[in-house]
Amino acid sequence: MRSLDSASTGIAQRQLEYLPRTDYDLIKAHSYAAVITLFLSAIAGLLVALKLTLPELLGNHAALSWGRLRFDHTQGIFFGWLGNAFFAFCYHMVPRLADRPVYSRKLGWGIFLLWNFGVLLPGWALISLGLDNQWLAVQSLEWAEFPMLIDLFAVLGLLLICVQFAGPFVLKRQSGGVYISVWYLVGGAVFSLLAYPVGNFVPAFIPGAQGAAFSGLWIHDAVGLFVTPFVLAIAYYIIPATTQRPIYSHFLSMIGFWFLFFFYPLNGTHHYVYSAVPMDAQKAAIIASVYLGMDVILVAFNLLMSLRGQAAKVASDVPLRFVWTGIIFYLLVSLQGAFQALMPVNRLTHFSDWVIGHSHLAMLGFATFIAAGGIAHAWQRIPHARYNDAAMNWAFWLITVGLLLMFVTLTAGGLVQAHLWASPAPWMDSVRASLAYWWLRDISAVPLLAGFVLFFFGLITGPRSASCNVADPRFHSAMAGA
Amino acid sequence: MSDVETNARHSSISRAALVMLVGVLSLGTVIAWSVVRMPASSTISPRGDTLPGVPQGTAFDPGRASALIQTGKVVVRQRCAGCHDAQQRLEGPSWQAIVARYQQHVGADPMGADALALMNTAISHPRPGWDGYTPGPSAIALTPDAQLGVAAWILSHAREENK
Repeated sequence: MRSLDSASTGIAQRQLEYLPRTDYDLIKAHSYAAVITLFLSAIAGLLVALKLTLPELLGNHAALSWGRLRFDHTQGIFFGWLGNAFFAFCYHMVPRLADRPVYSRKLGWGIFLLWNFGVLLPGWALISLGLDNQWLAVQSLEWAEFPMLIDLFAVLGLLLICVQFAGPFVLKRQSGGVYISVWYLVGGAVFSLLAYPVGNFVPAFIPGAQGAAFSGLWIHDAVGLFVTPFVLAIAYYIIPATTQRPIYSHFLSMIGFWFLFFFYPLNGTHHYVYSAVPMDAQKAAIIASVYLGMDVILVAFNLLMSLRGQAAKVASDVPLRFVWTGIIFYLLVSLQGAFQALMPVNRLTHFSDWVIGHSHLAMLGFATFIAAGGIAHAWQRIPHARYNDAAMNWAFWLITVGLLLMFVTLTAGGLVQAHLWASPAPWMDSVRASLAYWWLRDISAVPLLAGFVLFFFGLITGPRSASCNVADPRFHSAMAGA
Repeated sequence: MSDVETNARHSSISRAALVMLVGVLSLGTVIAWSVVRMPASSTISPRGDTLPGVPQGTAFDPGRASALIQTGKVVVRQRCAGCHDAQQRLEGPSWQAIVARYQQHVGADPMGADALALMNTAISHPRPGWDGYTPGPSAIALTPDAQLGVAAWILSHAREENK
């Protein structure tokens, strides 16, 4: 067993090694696209929230109706913000982990154009147009709202993502195994490609409860097989890269990885507890959710133990602080998810704003914090790029305050709704009781939007970095931990 | 295990990591077992269901009630007896078990409008049904009168048991 000192020395020596070509312009392009769509999608989310408190807002135009704007919001966050953010970080991470550039630079620009101008923008346009043709119509399926024609491009995009980011690890054999971030990266890319058609095509051809069950699988696979693996790859990368210390336990990293990919695909049916889907399938999904919660305890334990003794670093390094906060949210939201999948809790909270609070803690808390940390971390290491630490710090606090305000009010409002629905009180009583919570949720948009704008300023203002940045560890098995 | 786990050969696993793994999986298994054991029957929650033309909370005219029970008796024999027996479990639960399940929600007056409204809804086999039983058919084409008759017939058993 080598000591920490010798490992650090080894890392220090490797810093002087040749760094494979990194496509900085692709990091920049994807990051700009990500932050801009984050802002636009958040505006759509704000309008949806405002329509609950001001039902007459924006009138009756179909493209500006509650349902369509909600689709713009969720798909914008999924493809525009998270997708672009992940790819941006992959262009930073993959060359350093694979010891060779990504598969192809031209392919990179192809993916960028396909993802943003073949999937995201036409998807938004078709949602707004609301055409009738089966391949061009909005799909009223959660997390699969873009029309099926767009889904074809998305599947092509995911296939190219596999080639671009998993390809380098196949083409250049890695001695001593690959780092845990690579496992998550490859797993996320391959499983997303396989899971995407399940939720986006299958329900259109299998009607009724069976189709809904397949749709349910994708609802959770979108979070579990696309978002979570990429986010964890970022977290597992940034912690040792910033602290210069290895991950706590390679064993727990591997356990966490395989449990995630074993249990997550079974999870989706827990969206239909107490439904026409067979009860045994529902219970299997609930049990998978419970074990998933347990798995997240292990993953969060491993990540947080890797940061033990690093409080000062977490406090001073804003990207690392984004990641640390994201891990805390990951633990909270996953335990909450396992809890609310249980039948007695689900009976109470289903359909209420509790669930909306949960999904925002996941996507805005866990995923957005770590993805934002990833962009900021990569950005600091782009030669000649501007980076404004103060703006990033303000962005962190504003987004944190906004998220917590939104989460607390939605959860509290959800419990009020749930109890009123369980009583014989008329439906409108629950709407009237929700109004105060909904107004508070609307107000949470102010710090959130301000935080997003400041994050953008953090990337375009401030001093430029040095022309050659080598203060960056190269990941070999020494970073993997015991 | 020491604090400096930087072993790249993955030959040792820290004790804390092992304890966490075993502890967390045991906890998960206990919770999962409780999920398996939990009955998944739908809860009975009267949501102010009403019968057309009968105000909530009123008693039922005894003459009309007995006519309904007679209608129900015939319908039950023709349409329900394939799956429901008086005492034995067949494809569905016995009438006795059904009455026992609804007893506390039926209240003192089994032939009251509230009890009839509750049972009238239950006859359409709402999902998820009872734990351990296949859900009953939801598309049962009964006339409103026949359906109400079946409800009255089932509840007349509850009346017998109340006596």
